[in-house]
Parts: sequence; C-alpha cells; structure tokens
Amino acid sequence: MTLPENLKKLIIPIVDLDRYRFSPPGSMGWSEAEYEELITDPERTIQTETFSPPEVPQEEWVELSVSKDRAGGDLPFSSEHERASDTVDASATVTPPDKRPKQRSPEKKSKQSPEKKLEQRTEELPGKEIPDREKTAVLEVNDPLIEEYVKSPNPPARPWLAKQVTGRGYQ
Amino acid sequence: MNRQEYSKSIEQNHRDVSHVLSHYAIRPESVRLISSRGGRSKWLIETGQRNFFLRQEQIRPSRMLFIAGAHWHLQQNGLPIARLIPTRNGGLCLAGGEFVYVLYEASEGVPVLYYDRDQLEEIMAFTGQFHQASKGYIPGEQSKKRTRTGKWQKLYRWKLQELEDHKKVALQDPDDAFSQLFLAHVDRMLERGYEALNELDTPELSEWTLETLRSGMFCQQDFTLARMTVKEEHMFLKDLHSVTIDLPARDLRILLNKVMRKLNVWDTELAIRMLRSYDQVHPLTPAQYRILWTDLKFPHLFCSMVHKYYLGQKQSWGDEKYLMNFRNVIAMEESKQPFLEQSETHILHLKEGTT
Amino acid sequence: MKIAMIGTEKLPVPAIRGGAIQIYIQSSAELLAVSEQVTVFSIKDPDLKDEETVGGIHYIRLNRESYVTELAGQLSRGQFEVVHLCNRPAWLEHLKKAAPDSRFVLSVHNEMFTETKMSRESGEKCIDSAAEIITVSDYIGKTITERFPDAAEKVRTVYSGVDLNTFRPAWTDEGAQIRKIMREKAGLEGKHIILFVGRLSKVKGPHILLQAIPAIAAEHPEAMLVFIGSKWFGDDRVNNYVRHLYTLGAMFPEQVTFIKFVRPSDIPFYYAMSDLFVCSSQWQEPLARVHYEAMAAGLPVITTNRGGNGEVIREGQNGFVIDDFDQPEMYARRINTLLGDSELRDRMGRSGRQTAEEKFGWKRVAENLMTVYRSAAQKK
Repeated sequence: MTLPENLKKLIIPIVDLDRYRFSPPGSMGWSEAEYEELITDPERTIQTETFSPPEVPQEEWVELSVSKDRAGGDLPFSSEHERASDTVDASATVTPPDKRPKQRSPEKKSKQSPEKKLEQRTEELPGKEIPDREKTAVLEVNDPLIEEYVKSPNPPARPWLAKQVTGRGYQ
Repeated sequence: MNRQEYSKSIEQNHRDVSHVLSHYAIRPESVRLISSRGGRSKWLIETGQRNFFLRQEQIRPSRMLFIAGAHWHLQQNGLPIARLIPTRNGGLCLAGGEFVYVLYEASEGVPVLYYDRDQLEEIMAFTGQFHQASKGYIPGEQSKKRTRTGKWQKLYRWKLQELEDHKKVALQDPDDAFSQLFLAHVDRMLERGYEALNELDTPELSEWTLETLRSGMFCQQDFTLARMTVKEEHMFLKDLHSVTIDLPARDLRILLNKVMRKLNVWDTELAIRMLRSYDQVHPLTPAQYRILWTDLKFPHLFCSMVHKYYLGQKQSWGDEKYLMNFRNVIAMEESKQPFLEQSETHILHLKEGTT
Repeated sequence: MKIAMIGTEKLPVPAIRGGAIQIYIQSSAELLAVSEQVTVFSIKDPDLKDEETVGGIHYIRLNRESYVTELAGQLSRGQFEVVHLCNRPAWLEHLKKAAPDSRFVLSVHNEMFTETKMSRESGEKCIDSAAEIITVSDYIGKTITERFPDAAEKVRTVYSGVDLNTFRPAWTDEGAQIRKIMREKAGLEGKHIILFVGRLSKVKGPHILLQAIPAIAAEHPEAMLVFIGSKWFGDDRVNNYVRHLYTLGAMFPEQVTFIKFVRPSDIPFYYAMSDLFVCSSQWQEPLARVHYEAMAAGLPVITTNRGGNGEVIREGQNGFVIDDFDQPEMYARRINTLLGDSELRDRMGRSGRQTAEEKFGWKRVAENLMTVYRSAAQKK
C-alpha cells in the first residue's frame, strides 16, 4: 500500500517545554534560568536594546471616516485652517510611497491588505438604503427613552450627529 | 547606534512625521518625538498658535475608528477633553501601512494626584460626566467595537481558572517566597472570587447589560489618573487611550482599586465619598451598586499580580519588588472585607448623602 | 434548480485559504452541482480567476470592498430560484430587494442574532426576507428562536460535514500504518494518546485539561496529552496564554506534547495516531467541526455540554459529554475510564465512525440542503 507523499515527508515540530519551565526572577529581575545560561556560557553576550525612533513608513495614507461636516468645521485653529477647496491639490489625500525600501514581510502584507483597503468611500448603492454589514449599533428606535438619548443627547447634538441618527452612519 | 547616527535618525523621523501631518490643516513649525513604547508613539507638534500631539499606533484601523469616533462623540457632547483634530477631509484618523495616526490638542495643566481627596471626588464627578457624555454613541459602520458587557462571567471564570493553574505552579517551588505568600492567601481569594461569580447570576446584571448596550455608552479601557489633568480648575481628559463598551461600574471598580492600592489599605469613608460624587452626576440604582460591590469583591488586583509574576511580565522587577508589591496588594484586598460585607449599609448611605 | 451560494467577505471559495464556511460551501456545491445548476459567489483572490467553471460549478468572484453591492447586481440579473447566503443576516434584506423573485436560504454558523450583534428591527426584517433559516446546531437555532419566536417555523438544523475519505480509523489497514509511522515520528510509541485540536485560547479550555494531568497520570502514567493549536505564529510570537499553557505543561513533560504547527492536509494523520479525542470548550460554541473529524477518524469523543457540541455525541455510545466543563476531575475521570478499557474505546470509535458515515458526510449534507432548497422554492 502506498502511503501519502506528505506523510513520508512529514516532520513533527514539537515545542521544547524546557524553555518554558517557570523559574522565579532573581534579584536583578532575570529569571534563574536566564541567569544560569549567562554565567555558564561565556560566549553569550548580553543583548542591550538601544532605542531607535519608531518607524513611520511612507505609505499611501487613507483618511478614515471622512465627513464633510467635520472638515473645516468648528476647529480650534480656524485662523490657520486652510479650507480643503483652497490650497489643497487633488492628490492630497494620497501620498505617494517613498522610494525607501519597504521592510514588511509578505506575510504581514497579505495580512494587512483587507484592512488597508478600508476606505472612506462607502458603496454606491441604488436607492438610499445602505446594507449594514456587521451591525454594530444596537438601537430600538421605537423606545422613547432611547430616542431621547440618540436624537437629543445632552447637550444638543451637532448637525452631523442628527444625520447619523437617521441611519446614514458615518459617511 | 552612536550619537550622530541617532541624531540623524531622529531628524529623519521628524521629516517622516511631517508627511503624515500634511493630511491635516495645520502648519507645523516643529516636530518632536515624545515617547515610543509598546507599539504606541507620540510626537509633540508645535505650530504658531497651538500645540498638538500626533499619536501613532499599531492597531487595526477599524479598532482606531471605534476609539476616535468615541473621542469625537465625547467632545461634541461637551466633555472637557483634548480635542481630536480631523484630517483635511474630516476624517477621524489616518491609516498608513500597519499604523494608524490620530491628532489631538496638547493640553497643559496641573497633574492629578492619587493622594488628594478633593481631587479624587472631582475625578469621580468627571467620570459621571464621561459616562453621561458617552451615551448615544453610534460607532461607524467600519469601526470594530470592543465589548465587555455580557462577558463578565466568562472573565471571572477565566481568572479563577488561572489562579488554580498558578497554584499548581507555586506548589512546585516551595522555596520561592512569592509562591509561599501566594499559597497562603489564594484559597481565601478564590472563595471571594467564586462568591462574586455566583452573585453575577442575577437579572439585574442582564438588565443593566441591555440598558448599557442600548444607550451606546462606554467606559475607558483602563482608567488611569495619568491621563487626567486640572485645567482652569476643572478636570480635563488629556488623552483618550482606548474605550470599551462595558457597564460604568467597570471604570469605578478600576479607579477605586487603583486609589486604594496606592494607599495600601481600603478606606471605606473615602470610597463612599467618591461614589457619592459620582452618583450626583450619574446616579445608579442600589441594584447597580450591588453589582459594583460584586466587582470589587472579585480579587482583580490579586489575580493581576499573580499573572504578572508567573508570566514574567515585568522584565525589570526583581523578586524583592514583586514581593513588596504583592504584600501591598494583599493588604489592600484583605482590608476591603468590612466594606464588602456591609454593602447594603454603605449603598444606603451613599444614596442618602450620609456617612 | 438554479442555485446561488454566497460566501462571506472574508475568504474565497474554493477554500484555498481555509475557512469552515468556505469548506462547507465548496464541499456541498461539488455534490449539488452533479444535478443542479450551481453558482458560487465569493471574494476575489490573486490565485483564483475572477470567473470560471470548475467541476460543474460556476464561480464568480467579486471585489471585497464592494462585495455586497456587486452581489446585489449579480443576483438581480442571475434569476436564481434559490439563493443560499452564508452567515451574513445583515445583508439579507438588501439582497432580497435586489432579487425579489429568488427564495433566500440563510445559513447561520454562529450567534449572529444576539443583542450585541443585531437590533430587533434588523433581526425581524432579516427573518422576513428569508424563506428558510438553517443553523449548524440546535443550539444556534435556539439563540434565534428565543429572541425571535416567530422565526421558529423557518428555522431548522442542518449539521455540517466532514470529508470521510480523508480520515482513516486505526482499524483499517491504511489507518493502522499511518498510526504506526506517526507514533514513530513523534517518539510516542507505547503511549496512550489523548488528542486536542483547536485554537489555544482560554475559551477552548486547554488549561483545564492540563490541570487534569496529575489525576490522569496517577492511573495511567503512559498517557500523553497532545495539543495541536490551529494557529501558529512563530516561536517569538507566543502570546501570554500560550506561554501560560507551556509553563503548566512543562510541569508534566512526560504527559504533555505541544505540536507547533500542522498543515490542514496533515491533520488526519494526527487523528490516526491517537486513542481518544477531547474537546474542553468553555464557551457556548456553535458546534466545532473537530467533533465530526474525530468521529470520522473512529475516535471516542469527550466533549462539553457547551453550545452545540454535545448534540452529536450519544452519551456512552460514541463518547461522553461533560456538564461540569470547568472541573478538571471530570475530564480525568472519563479519560481514565477510556484509557483503561480498550474494548470500550473500540466500540465507541466504531459507533462514531458509523454515525459520521450516516449523518455527517458531505453527501448527506448536500441532500439535506437540497431538501431545504426545495422547501424554500415552494414558498411565496
């Protein structure tokens, strides 16, 4: 009887539990096991972490949950505010990637792509209805108490909030 | 990395940040890295008129949207909180690669102290305001909520199981001082924990859970005084780290435990005064307070300390430091006993305004 | 019958990237396509064509970002008699409006109708739009009908399935050989192997099993608990809980083995190597497919009464159901009983295999689906 190919080649990767045996921290904050390793192995050098600034990758940036009512609204610095229509050019929402090499592994990249594509545009739909995919808000709109919370939170809601209440959500 | 290399890397870093800032309608004059750890980094952005903080997090955009949306909601509802600054097109935050960025006003103020009783009462009143202001929040379609309501039993159960697990580990090492101390107190703590778990089996909890979900209200993920400041004599929230949908009792339990932990003893009178301040702004029913008492009965701090030790969470702590902290936690948890036992009296007093 | 099956926005069909729902669709579609006209909708994938016909199934793959919109468009043009939507109740109303003449069957694979996930209003609208609602377990069905009693007439259980051919019980020639080879490779000859397959997470309760080891080892020192976590992120990305498990496990190195990573196609070999299967789920799980796998592999199953898991176990016949799911002694007791009685193990294993062959092969699943589709097609 022929065995499956993958069975023949299979190597079973077993975790070495010895590494995980609990040992109390010494007075220095190292575990006994770690300390013993250090003093018994003269070749092993202590790895000291040097601080380096956090990565700020030059990516294609996406503004999330864009809303006209928030843009150019009541901002605390209106004197320096540049209205979106005035000086900003068409490519402002997207910054071209830097020429520096990207360091992400392919695995991370594929893991990231569905999230990366989370864009501010919602689907264009025939008619007004919007499918709520995984419904997040839980409201019983026929409950007067809830209506009160939602439609007139304390203090009075800004216009954008009222729009939300009618079911449009963040657009 | 030597000094020169470091300077260069910082300069580059600041230049990189400027590109991020181009998505905001501000004119930055200087950028300075303030902190970076645990996947979160913060830069101070100075402009002619105001200062801002840019925060970078390695987090799913949908999760950040939930938090930033909550932040916006709170400020629109008038809570004294550092203002979130939208992007040029009114976005709540900016996503790029594995990171998400959020910009908010930098605030100056006086630090808040765990040891100032008046301030503690004000903080509780502020917390009441926070909970009120959080009502009506409807997270955007693309945000991912974090919900803890309805998960209390599960969480309690898990923590108790973890304690039982650690008992086994402790028994293996009879010479370890921490383990000895742990074994001396764990059964009592387990007893309290199981009692609390049973107490959760009440219709009042389900009712409150439903009410909370329907109202849209939320809590801070991990309430800490470090994010509060006193600005123009009022309590002000400098930074909204994270939020979670949970019963308001969560924030109250976390804060009370933190305060009393610092004092190393449970101060009943202080606890009642603090709760009264909260109640005046956001009143809870006696039944709801009973649930808070249950949550305070559960040995959260004890579990947390044990978890840290057996999982080696605090890299820099030596055995002495663990022991010292553990002793303090045990002292505090044990001194809580009278407060827990006389819950009905205390709840009555706090609602009546008497001591 | 012209049938459309719709996968979620998470993974493509065929299940080249895994996914229980995707496997469910793929396996049933392959059988349904023999006699019906089946179209499967899922998301695009760089390794798959946007449109193709394979094995009689017409695959249409759409953009994830505009999935629901595109689906609506496709359904409105497609003139399907029956549309089977998987696990996305929130889309139902919208899709039904796009294709009012189609009859919709909604399959529910986990708790989608709870207070935290769905408002009453949305729930009612969704239920109205469905001709039939099928659930992967009675438990999930109850989570719907308890909150929406009017849905009861539309809700029924259709259990999922397993590929019976990929699992070889130890009493078959092939199974016996695989068992021998695997035990050699793992260095576990002469052991009584108790298998756990599932995510290494608190809700799955592997730490409870570790707690049970002293009681097991006292009676059966040759016992070996083998843990296969279904996700592996690499040595340096062990999370706190997994470290916790390893720390516990390190106390009993003779009775505990953690296997780092197993390719899905190799999983059946581990079942063949084992003597019994245990599921220690602490949460209300819909119905973990490992139960079907264990039965197909001819292993007695010990599981908890949480969620739907206990539904496929007949107490004392093909396994045991534990009520006190957080008590390690309960697991120890059942495990020791089975380890001490090879005849019982054999009987239970064979009973499990028989049940799997009767009820949980994909052929049976496809037949059940067809019954539901026919019923749906007749509704107004």
